[in-house]
Amino acid sequence: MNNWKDEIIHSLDGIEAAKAPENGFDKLQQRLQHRKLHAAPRTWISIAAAVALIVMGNAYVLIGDHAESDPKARSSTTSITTNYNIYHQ
Amino acid sequence: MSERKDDLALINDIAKGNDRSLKLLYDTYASKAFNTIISFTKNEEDAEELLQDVFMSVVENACTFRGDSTLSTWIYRMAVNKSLDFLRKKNTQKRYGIFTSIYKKDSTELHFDKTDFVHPGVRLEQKENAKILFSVIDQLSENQKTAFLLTQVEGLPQQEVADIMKVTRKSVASLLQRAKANLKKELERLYPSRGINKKRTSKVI
Repeated sequence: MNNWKDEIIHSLDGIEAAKAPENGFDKLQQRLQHRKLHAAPRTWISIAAAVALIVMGNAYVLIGDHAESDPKARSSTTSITTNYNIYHQ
Repeated sequence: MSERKDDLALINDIAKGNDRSLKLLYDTYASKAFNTIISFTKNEEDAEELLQDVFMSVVENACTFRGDSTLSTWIYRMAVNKSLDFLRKKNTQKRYGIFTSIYKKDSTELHFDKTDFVHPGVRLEQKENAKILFSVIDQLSENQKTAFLLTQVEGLPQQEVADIMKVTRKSVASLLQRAKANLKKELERLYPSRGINKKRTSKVI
């Protein structure tokens, strides 16, 4: 009864291995080369982005400091606190 | 032990960008990986593409290879994982296809037609049976399919299959047993009259 099913299941007995395509290694090298060429600009882009981020962060802090030390800005802050009775009893 | 040392030396050379070592590795393992992949994908073009992916991963991960397993096991594992990932994606697309349209635009041709795959290494007299077998293999679970294909198509010993699948040899034996039982059930379901016809024919003769 099981014979026909066993025959199908054992149909792979004595199977030979399939061979990889002959030009496979050349294609692999082309892909590796392509990846190298595209990886280089990406590295520079990330370095440039990191530098830009640092510069922007520094600029933000410097501008903030400058605004705080500006006498006009300080007087306007004082007048607001006086007008609204903030920090004054 | 010396095999592991050779493996490590070879893979270290590849990590350093040595093309000759990469060629040696490719010549040694490409056909083994391809034979495994094509049994999963059942399509030559897809298998070629995945084979390239496997060797790209080998190059990218060469510096992480510590020699805990042999190079052969490592490459087989990558081949199996890439094949299973590919099949998962394909199945998702198939399911999506059912919700949209299973026909190609402006034609009556099916998007996802069933393939009549026959492994290129199958003996001529077994081609019809092998075609049936490959059509029912997809009904198996991923683990059962992997154990079945690696032992039956690739002819690997159960211990090596266990190393590739990161399970015990006993588990592989059990997976194989269940795979064969499930294949028989599926064959009975698909060809209910086949056994009966044969029995009748033999009585008439």
